[in-house]
Amino acid sequence: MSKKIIYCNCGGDIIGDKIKETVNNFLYTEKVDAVQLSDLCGLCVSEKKDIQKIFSSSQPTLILACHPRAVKKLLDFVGVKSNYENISFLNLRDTNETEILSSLKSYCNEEPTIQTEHFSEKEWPSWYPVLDYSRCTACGQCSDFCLFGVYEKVDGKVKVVNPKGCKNNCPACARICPETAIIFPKYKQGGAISGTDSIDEVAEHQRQSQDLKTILGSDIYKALEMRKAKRQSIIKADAMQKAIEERDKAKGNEPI
Amino acid sequence: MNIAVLDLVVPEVKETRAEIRGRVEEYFKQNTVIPPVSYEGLFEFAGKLVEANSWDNKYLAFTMVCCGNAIWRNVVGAIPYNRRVLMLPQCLRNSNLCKAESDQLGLLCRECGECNISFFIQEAEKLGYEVLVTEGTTVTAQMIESGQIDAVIGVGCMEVLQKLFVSIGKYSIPGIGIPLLTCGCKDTLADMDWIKEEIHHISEIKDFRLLNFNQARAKIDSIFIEEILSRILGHDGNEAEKIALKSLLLGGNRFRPFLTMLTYEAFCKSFNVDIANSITVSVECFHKASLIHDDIEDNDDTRYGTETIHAEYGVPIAINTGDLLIGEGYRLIAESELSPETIRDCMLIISRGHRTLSVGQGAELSAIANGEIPSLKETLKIFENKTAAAFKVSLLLGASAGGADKETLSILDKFSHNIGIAYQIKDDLSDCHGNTGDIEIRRFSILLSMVFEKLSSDKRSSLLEEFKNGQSAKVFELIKEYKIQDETEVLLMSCINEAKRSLENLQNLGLKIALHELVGKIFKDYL
Repeated sequence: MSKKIIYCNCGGDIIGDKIKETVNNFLYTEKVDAVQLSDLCGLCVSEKKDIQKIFSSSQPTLILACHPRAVKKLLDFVGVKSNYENISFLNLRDTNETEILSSLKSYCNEEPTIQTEHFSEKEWPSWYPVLDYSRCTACGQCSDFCLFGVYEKVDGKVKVVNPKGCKNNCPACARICPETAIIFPKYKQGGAISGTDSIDEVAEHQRQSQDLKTILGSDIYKALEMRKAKRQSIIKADAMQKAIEERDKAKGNEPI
Repeated sequence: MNIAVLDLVVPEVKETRAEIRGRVEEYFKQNTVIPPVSYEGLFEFAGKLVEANSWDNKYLAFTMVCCGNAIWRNVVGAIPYNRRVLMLPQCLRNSNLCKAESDQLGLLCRECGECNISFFIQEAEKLGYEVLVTEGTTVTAQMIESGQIDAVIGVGCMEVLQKLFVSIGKYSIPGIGIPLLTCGCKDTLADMDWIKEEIHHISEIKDFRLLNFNQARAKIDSIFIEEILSRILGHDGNEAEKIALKSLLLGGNRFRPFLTMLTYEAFCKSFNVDIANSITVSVECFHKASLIHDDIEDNDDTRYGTETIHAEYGVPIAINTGDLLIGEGYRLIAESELSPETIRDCMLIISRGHRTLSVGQGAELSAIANGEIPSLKETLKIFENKTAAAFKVSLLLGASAGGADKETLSILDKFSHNIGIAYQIKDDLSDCHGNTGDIEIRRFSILLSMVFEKLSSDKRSSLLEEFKNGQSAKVFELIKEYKIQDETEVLLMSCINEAKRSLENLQNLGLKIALHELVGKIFKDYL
């Protein structure tokens, strides 16, 4: 049976450009049966059916994406039922190019190349949580906490019902989860929130505060000043957008 | 009234809030309390006020918030706007209309005007504040724990304020808390006028100087570079001087000079760079000399991940380097720009410290030579002579050079005694908290002394025999059996509390806050 490669060309900023380039070069030049996904997180919301089909073939498959636990929970979320028997995971977050290439080589075929590509919505950053039900105790704190109705408690089970309601880069619910059961596959800093296997709550708490420490740096006031500038530029862009809209509206009223 | 289960209710009626706030303000105007005050302290004050005014008991927690604010208000007010941080809760926004995104630190408000957040941001930023709109307590607690924030004005529900008081209290950060009027994490309400009033508050406190750890650290870092150090030290390229300079530049967290800088800054009328350089380098000279001699005595070949001086140059040169550093330590003070009287005081502080340290080291060395485990009392005396003396020299030298009075020096003396012993106990305890659960016991651990206290004399000698032969399994067992760790923690807590109590009458407000913060930072895992 021919072998298959599924590659998530992550739309988040978590896989290095060099690694992406290496993988892309390989897939376009070697004899492979490759499925290229523009962004697995995005497709799991917009193209559920396609994803279910792609991931339920019985071919020996190599999945190139982020942390395996994150990928599996994403697939659970879409309803892919697999025991992952013929499937291997390659974690692009912590594998170097040489190792990636050697794994890829073992998934080449004799036959000519088949390439399929799937694209998700470009506009949406596809940042949302998935739950690890092997950890979740359905305490519902996340659902009470989130202001945007991302979660809902249905029949004693907490579910992610409105992924698009989630605010880009906000991992707040995962921080309060007492079971480290919430994964944001696109979380940059790593740790259980990004989908590593870590389950040590104390260690996770320390890691989160370490993440924040890195963000705040050695001069908090400077970091806050920079953030203020970033926020100001968003407000400026808003104002600009509004001005353009109004101008267009005014133009539309004029006879051409 | 139980302190553990307080009703977290905010009076609904504005007049009731105003009355409680007003009465509390009035009370603390008549009864000056120098911050910080512990949670229990606030509980006591609030209890008294609730009873005296016959307020509803359910407002006790709210009264505590008001008491805390009244005690801290003048300090917060004396900190410039641009060093204050305003923390607003995300739940204040209009959950239906808000289009703002979040980043790691919280909401990036777009100031659309659909909720009050944009109003507060504009108002506060105009004054120079940094503003954060955060969720929960994670980010806020982290900011507080960084020790970099000079003052916080935090708006939040009573639950959040209560949680944050733990961090605020631990690190003794000047802060004002303003409770939300409604809770429920969504579309909440706040008392606009109250927030506005607190944001704008300015006060003046005579002789108040806020000590910033980061700035003191930065000053120390700028002194301990080759260019500056070689200028401060007598240096004409002699080999012995080179090695001494090298040892001063090498590693370590420069905790002692940092403390000296802190107390000097707290008291000096005007900051004299030459004096600051002399006293901080002097203190480090003594420290490095003692380490070099220590390493010879203990036959340790590595320190700071590199070879020790005697391992690299041989014992004779190492002894001489230590001696040279001690000479430099005294010379730096004697030759400094301090007045003759102050030089005499400083010389007394360091020579006494030098002497005490050697006596402590001597006690430890003879115990080793005789193959004895010191009793608990003897161990504490060693801690006092070694660690507490180091704190004492560092803190008193800076304070004395800055011009602190006798009474202040005796307060710092007492504080050093307690924090020094606590520090060493913590150090011994941390050997027990390895990742693997293994216990690593050094020759003289307070835990070991405590185990021996529990045993009869023949059991002692058999255990000592085993221990000498490198078999420590039995000791670990006994530590577990007698719950020595718990007992040591109790002792540690009593030293920490004693250290805090010794600061009660310290008049220098800036230093008082800073030393409480220091205790919080050092013992954060135990508080």
